[in-house]
Order: sequence, then structure tokens, then C-alpha cells
Amino acid sequence: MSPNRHSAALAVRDLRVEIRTREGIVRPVDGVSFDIRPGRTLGLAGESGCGKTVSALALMRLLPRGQARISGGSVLWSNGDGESVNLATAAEQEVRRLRGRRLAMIFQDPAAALNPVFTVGEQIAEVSRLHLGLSHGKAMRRAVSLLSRVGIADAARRAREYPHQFSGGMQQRAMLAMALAGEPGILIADEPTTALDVTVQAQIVDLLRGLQSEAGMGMLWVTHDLGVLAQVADEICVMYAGRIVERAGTRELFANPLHPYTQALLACVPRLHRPAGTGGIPGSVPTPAEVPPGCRFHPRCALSRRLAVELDAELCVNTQSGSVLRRCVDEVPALRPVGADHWVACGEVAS
Amino acid sequence: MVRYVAKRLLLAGVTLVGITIVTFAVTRLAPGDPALEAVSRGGASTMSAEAYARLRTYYDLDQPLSRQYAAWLGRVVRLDFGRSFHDGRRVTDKVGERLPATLCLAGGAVVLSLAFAIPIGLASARRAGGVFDTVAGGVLAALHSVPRYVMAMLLIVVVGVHLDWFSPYGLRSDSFEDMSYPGKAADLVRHFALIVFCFAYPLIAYQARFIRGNLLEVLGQDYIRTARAKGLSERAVLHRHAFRNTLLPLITVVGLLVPSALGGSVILETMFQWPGIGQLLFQAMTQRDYPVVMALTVVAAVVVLLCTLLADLTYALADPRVRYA
Ligand SMILES: Nc1ncnc2c1ncn2[C@@H]1O[C@H](COP(=O)(O)OP(=O)(O)OP(=O)(O)O)[C@@H](O)[C@H]1O
Ligand code: SF4
Ligand SMILES: [Mg+2]
Repeated sequence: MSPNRHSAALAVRDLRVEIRTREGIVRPVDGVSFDIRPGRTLGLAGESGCGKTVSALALMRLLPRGQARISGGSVLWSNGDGESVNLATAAEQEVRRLRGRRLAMIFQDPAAALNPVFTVGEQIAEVSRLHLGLSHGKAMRRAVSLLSRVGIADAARRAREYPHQFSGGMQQRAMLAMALAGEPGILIADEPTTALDVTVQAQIVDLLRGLQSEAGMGMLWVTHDLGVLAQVADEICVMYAGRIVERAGTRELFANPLHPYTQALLACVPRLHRPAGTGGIPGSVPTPAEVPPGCRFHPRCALSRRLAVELDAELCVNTQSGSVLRRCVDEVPALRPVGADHWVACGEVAS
Repeated sequence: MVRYVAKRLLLAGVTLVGITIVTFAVTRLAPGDPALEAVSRGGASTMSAEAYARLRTYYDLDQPLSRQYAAWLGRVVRLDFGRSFHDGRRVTDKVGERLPATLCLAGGAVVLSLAFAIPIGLASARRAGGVFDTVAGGVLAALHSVPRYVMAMLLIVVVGVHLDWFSPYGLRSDSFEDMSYPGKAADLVRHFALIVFCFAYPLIAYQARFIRGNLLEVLGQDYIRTARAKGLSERAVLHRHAFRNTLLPLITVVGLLVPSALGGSVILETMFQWPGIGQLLFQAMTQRDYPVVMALTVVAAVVVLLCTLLADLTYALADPRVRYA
């Protein structure tokens, strides 16, 4: 095991991504900052289409080539030993050296993420051969032990099977074994349980938590499910339309959600004493091509609308979606600290 | 798997019988009369009605078509294809001595075309829309649009006769037996090159396009992103993870191309005086040599059916997801 595995960190600052589409250039990630700290789990939450996957792929420099690119900001990886690389600008070769070795990633749809024509064992062994220089035989034996480590029974036989012979939960376990093969300090998980059955989801959550603390990895857990993050995350970033709108420790965020979007999201999470809010938040996430001016959440913001009723008419403006505060339309709220380790991007909450 | 193969073979047998029935009917209903041919070969410009009738009886031609077919099938089952109407030699001998030349041609063309198509397809897909992709795509499309016989004519006249770089006619030189081993090899290459190229170039164009298109599709798959996330080089991603997935459909395509290559052999072998079954078929057709035509039909049909079956089976072996019940 690499000596500094427990102190790897990823500092993301003002990350911007541009995608070329038929309608022109769009920016699905527009100035995002967060830290993946050594041995800790950062949750990245938000509805579908708000830019979570694009952010996660950007960290690994895995954006679709020729189509999308990191257009600004930095992604600074460091191993606590003075070594650091800015993944946003590093040469492709340098990035490849870290990928799969220092940073690993697992994906939402494990069935599609595994290559159908190679055995599961081969696909896991490939990582150890590439990054640890193991021989084929040694790498295969290591793949078997990794498979048992992620809870697959009869791993030696299973390693010789093909992905389609695995159930969804086992495929995600295999993906995890593949990610662990390089002994990474940082693991990025993009909706690791979304495609799985509910009962299997819980197993994978438990497994990931266990392995994360055992291996001491820093982790980014991307999901639209705040309920999962309540169990696994130390800190949570809430993302909306390509930006972070609120950031806080998990306990703090659930106890004291400040941003109207976070509040609306939390209202959708089922709790023991309260049924889930039906139908989610009214309206939908704008596509990157049509982000509204000012605060991107204003067309859906309950707070702005409520304040517009209470306050003078001259402070308000009529929009397609009703009367809202003029400030919400005119000013882009920055992410500002509102308490110890609690940040919000809303002009009305901060004031 | 065994049951699947048995089922496929049975089906192939039925198809084969169907093909022979159609060919049998078409050849006999086409204008021309082997008995007349035989007589005119004998030098007589006129003949007695009696001699004509005797010949027709000799060839079974006076029987109803269904009777003729049944008799033919009965012999074929015992691998007896009869004797040539033309020279009286056993049909199996005539076909057998010519089969290797054509198989070499088809095999050579497939190997040669893949040797070009795979690297071209890979390089084109690597930078789709790039300079190489555009140029190679244009050149191959242009090549593909040239009919084989035009290309053959050009090559025979310009490269063969005029420049004299290659020998456009036949299998080997007359002095072949007197040559040293390297000399023999060179002589074979000189004779083989042009005709094999004529067979191969449309295949190159077709396969390269096919490989490129398939690779681009595969490159958009999630598992390619996984391969990149492992830290693999772009080369390893393309050559190992992507190519392995395009190999499966490629096998099928090649299996289906062999028959079409055989189809081209009639014209090309005739033009290049290549002593294969294509040339034989051409001769047999013009001579109304029914037994030879029928035998070649069976050979061609068997090759086609076998290629398709082999393509399917290889596919099954290469793709772990395909399992036959
Ligand atoms: N290759 C692309 N071309 C064009 N638009 C894209 C591309 N990839 C993503 N987008 C757009 O960027 C936005 C953010 O997408 P992203 O996949 O990051 O959302 P997400 O938060 O991960 O949502 P989900 O929960 O559905 O996975 C979406 O509006 C999406 O349509
Ligand atoms: S800035 Fe205005 S629109 Fe945006 S979240 Fe705050 S109140 Fe709502
Ligand atoms: Mg996503």
C-alpha cells in the first residue's frame, strides 16, 4: 500500500466545463469549488441534469473528447507528500498515470460499464498489471482476492465469468474491485446504487462505507438521493444548474438547511414520521443552454416568491413564473459563509 | 451447442436441395441443347434424326425434368456427379483439380483485405473526421465504385502487359518446373498479385468502412469510459477494448463476404485465365455442360452455407453472451 494513501486530497476550484452542442457552447458546470479531504466522504447532491456527472467526469478528465472540455478552474490532486498535479491542465500522459491508480471511479450503470467480451477477472487484473506491474498470473490471483474483498462468494470461479453472468449488485461489486485494484487514495462514485434494486442498494452502501474507512480513501459520492448521503457523507454540496448552492457538514445540512433549493430537496426525502413530498419540486432543472439570469433557481424559488408578496412592489419583478424579488433576477448570488463550515449561495438567506 | 449445429446442418441441407432444384430447372429451360452441341463438335453440320435422338437418350434429356432431377439427386447423394457432356471426364475430377486455385484466391483475398482494412479502420476511427479518415475514406469509396472487370482490364493492360511488373495470365510460367525455390515463389507472386488484388479491393473498402463505423459506435459505450478511467492509453483502449468488440460483427461480415467473392470469380478467372472453378463454370455454361454446372452449383452452395454456419459458430465462441439452446 502506498504510504500516503491516507492523505490524498482533491481541491476543486472554480471548475468550469464547456460542451459544444448543435445549439452552441453550453456550460453545464459553471464555477464549482469543493474539497475531497483525506479519508472523508463528500456528497454531491442535486436533481437530474444539474451537472453532477459532468463535474465528476471532469475531475477524472473523462469528458467526451472533442466535445467537452474543462474551460476554467483547477482540480488539484495532492498526496500529502508534497506531490501535486493540477488535473485540469496536466498533460494527458500525466493524467493517465493517476487514473485508476491514485483516483478511481465507479459508475451508475455497472452492466454497461463492464466490457462484455472480457471476463470479470481479466478486467480487474488489467489495473494491477498496468499500474502495479504485476504479471498476468499474479494480477489474476489479486483479482480473485479483490473480488472476495468486495463480498463475492466463490471468487475464483466468478473471476472467470463474464459480466452478463453477474447480477446487477455483483456487477457493481466487480466495478468496485476494479476501482480498488490500483489502491487509489480517492474514489469517485457516480450514483453507485441508483441502478440497483432497493435491497441491493443497502448492501452496496454498506460495502462502500466499510471499504472507504478501511482503505482510508477520500471519496466523492454523487447522488440525487439525500437519504443515502445522510448515511455516508461527512459533508454535502448541493448543486443546482451547474453551481454549488449550499455546502455544509451533513449533520448541519439536515438540521439547518438554508438554501430554498436544499429545503425543497429535503422535503422530498422520505422520513419515518413524514411521507415523502409528492411529485418533488415544482418545475424542472433548466438545461445548460437556457440557464436563467441572476440566481438560477429563481423561477422555482418559493422563498423569493414569498418575499415578493411580503415586500414592496418596487423590489419585485414579474416573470413568466410569477412575481419574484428583483434582486434574485439581477444578481448572481455568490457562495458565502453563514456559519461555521456552512456556506450558502442565496442573497436572501445570507442577508 | 451440438443440437444447434445439427439443426443448422439440417436446415442447410434443405436449402441446398432447394438451390439445386432451381438451378436444375433454370439451366435446362435456358435456350441451347447439349445434344446439338455435342453433334456440332463432332463436325457434322447436319445429322440424322436418329443420331440426335440417341444422344438425347444417352444424356437422359428425353426424360421429364422431374425424372431427370431425381436421377441426378440419386447419384449426387453417392457423390457421383456424372461425366462432363463436353469431354466425358468425371465431373468430380474436373472440379477437384480446379478447386484449390479458387480457394487460394478467395482465402488470399480475405486475408489481404483484412490486412489492409483492419489498420485502416482503426486509424480512421482513432481520429474520425481527421485528415487520414477523410483521405482514406475518399480513396476507398472511389476504389469501391470501380467495377471489378474495369479494374482487371486496367491492371492487365497497364501493370501486366505494358509495364510488365506482373504476369497477368494463368497460375505460373511455363518454365516453372525449371526454377529455383525462390524463383518459384517469385513466379507465383507475379501471377497471384493482380488477380488477388482485384478480388480484394472492394472487400478492403467495405471492411474498412464497416470496422470504422463499428468502432465509433463501440467507442461511445460506457465500458470504453471505464477502460479510460483505468488509466489505459488511448491505443490500448482502441486496440484492446474497442476492437475486441467489433471483432464479433466483423467475423460475420467476412463469413458473408466469401460467397460474394466467389461470385466475382467467374469474370475475374476468365479474364486472368486463372484455372479455377469460376473459369470452369463460365466454360461449362457456354458449352451447356449440365453436369458440370450442377456440380459447381452444389460446390458454391455448400461453401456459402458452410461460411455462414462457421461465421455464426465463431461468433458464438468469441461472444460470451451468445449461447445456443
Ligand atoms: N455530451 C453532452 N452533450 C450535451 N449536453 C450534455 C452532455 N453531457 C451532459 N450534458 C448536459 O449537461 C447537463 C448536466 O448533465 P449531467 O449528466 O452532469 O447531469 P447529472 O446531474 O449527472 O444528472 P443525472 O442525475 O441525470 O445523472 C444536462 O443538462 C445534460 O443534458
Ligand atoms: S437568491 Fe433568490 S431566487 Fe435564489 S435562492 Fe435565494 S431567494 Fe431564491
Ligand atoms: Mg449523472
